[in-house]
Amino acid sequence: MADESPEPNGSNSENSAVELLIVEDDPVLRLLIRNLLEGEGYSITEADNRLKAIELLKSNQNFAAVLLDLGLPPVEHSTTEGLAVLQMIQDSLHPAKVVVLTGQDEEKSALAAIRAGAFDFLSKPSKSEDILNAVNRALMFYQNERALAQEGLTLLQINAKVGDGLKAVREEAEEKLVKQVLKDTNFNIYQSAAKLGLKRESIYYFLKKFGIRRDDS
Amino acid sequence: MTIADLYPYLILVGSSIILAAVWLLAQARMRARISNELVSLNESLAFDLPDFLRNCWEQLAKAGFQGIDWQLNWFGTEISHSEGERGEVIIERELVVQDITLRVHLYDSKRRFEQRYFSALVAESFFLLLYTDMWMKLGTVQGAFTQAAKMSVFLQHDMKNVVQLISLLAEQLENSKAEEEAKLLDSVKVVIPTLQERSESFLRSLSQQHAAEEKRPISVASAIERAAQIHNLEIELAGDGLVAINEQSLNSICDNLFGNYVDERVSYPNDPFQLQISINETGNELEIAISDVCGRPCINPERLFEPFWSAKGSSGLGIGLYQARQLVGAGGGTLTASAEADKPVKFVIKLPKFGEM
Repeated sequence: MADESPEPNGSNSENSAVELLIVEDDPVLRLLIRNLLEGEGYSITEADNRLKAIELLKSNQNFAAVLLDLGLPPVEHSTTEGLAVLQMIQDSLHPAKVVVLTGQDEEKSALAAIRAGAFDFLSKPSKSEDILNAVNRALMFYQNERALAQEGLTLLQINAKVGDGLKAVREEAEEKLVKQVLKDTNFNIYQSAAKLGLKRESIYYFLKKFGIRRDDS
Repeated sequence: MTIADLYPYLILVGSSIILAAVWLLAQARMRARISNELVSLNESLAFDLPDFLRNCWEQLAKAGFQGIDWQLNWFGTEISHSEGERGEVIIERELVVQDITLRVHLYDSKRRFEQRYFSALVAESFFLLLYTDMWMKLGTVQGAFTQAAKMSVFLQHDMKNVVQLISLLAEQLENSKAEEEAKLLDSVKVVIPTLQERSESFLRSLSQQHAAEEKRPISVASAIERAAQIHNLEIELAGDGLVAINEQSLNSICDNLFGNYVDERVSYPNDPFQLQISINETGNELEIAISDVCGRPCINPERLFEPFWSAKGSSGLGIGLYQARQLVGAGGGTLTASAEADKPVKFVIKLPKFGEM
């Protein structure tokens, strides 16, 4: 973790518009993290398991960042449940940045989390300062991405195996971009085609090719 | 020559056959007895291979062997020993089980016919015992290491949460602003008892010793209701009674049992759930029956109380129900599970009523 503090994220009153989600099964730890982040003025929502977290993320696209524990019930001592939340965030193209804070085996879970698209990884125990720095950095990226999106730019994150070659990367990029545009246009084929500079038939072709359904976008 | 003339010969042949059969039977019994003695000796020495090797000569000599020598590599240490004399016939065996290597020579005299088979029978039984001891030792060692490693991973994970709690609390106390003090105090009131409870839980996991044997009458229904509330479980509770068991133990028993139902609720959130608990007096005991009557049948009922086995695989430590059963046992009661095919598991706790201990 770098020592430099990120730019302050504005005053506390400005932060109150920033919504954060804490996914942590330990109620007492959740309380203390909530205190910490509320102290910075953020608006906090809590979830203690995967299903609740996914339900909240689906119903609220405004979460800017998620502080995620990987070990969630019923398998608190494995990373399965936390990684499933992370995967859902990636698959649904939720704009929130995920900061993982976990007590699992450090090296293995850090690698798995980064692969699954986590923005940052902190291992327990972490200092308040480090947690705040990571959250603030995530928010800075979130806000920059939002600004870019308003200019029509989309950031695509692709995990590529070099051995798979360029075709695999191109296809993943195509899929993500089409999904993103469909999501932005609320699944409007006409608008999506216009945005991507394609014919409508091409959009239908991609829908079929990648098996995209309205629920996925 | 008439048939009557043959009688003496027939009687002689018949008697010889009977005598031979009796003799063979006696010989076989003697070898069987010796094999049994070897098994008993091995058991009395707690299946310890070096001890068994050092003490087995008496029985082998009885079986007619002339001598034995063996070289053992016991986890890197070489030891050897010999007894008796070197005979004409050598029965040799080399046994290898990972870090244990054993080479044994049994010396026998030249034997004929059935004697050779009797001798081989005892020798093979002896070798089988040696081989079993080697595997048992290895199994015990590996099991202990696996359990210790698993326990360590779990304790480390839980300990990290505790350290994280303490560190956040300490920082928040240090940096508290005047206007946040009331809120912080509320947090402290929640955090400190939790820390105490977890530290005690660690100690319980690490030692077999149970909390001080302070026994006062405790209402079983209250303890169950409290545990259900902590785990946010809806229960249908009928009956009540007083038991004399350490309060912490009773709470721990309820926690361990309910923890499994909480996991089920999270794993199958759409399944119907109806946790029925009945408390009835039966003679001097109180019988507490717990079952999710809508629950799924248990796939591995025989494993329920096996320590370090978890339905959650490596994600579960597997000591919850084991610990619950130990605690009930320490309180003078029993914890059993009935798992009929296609029916949900029913746990039955029997505890002595207060004043009946």
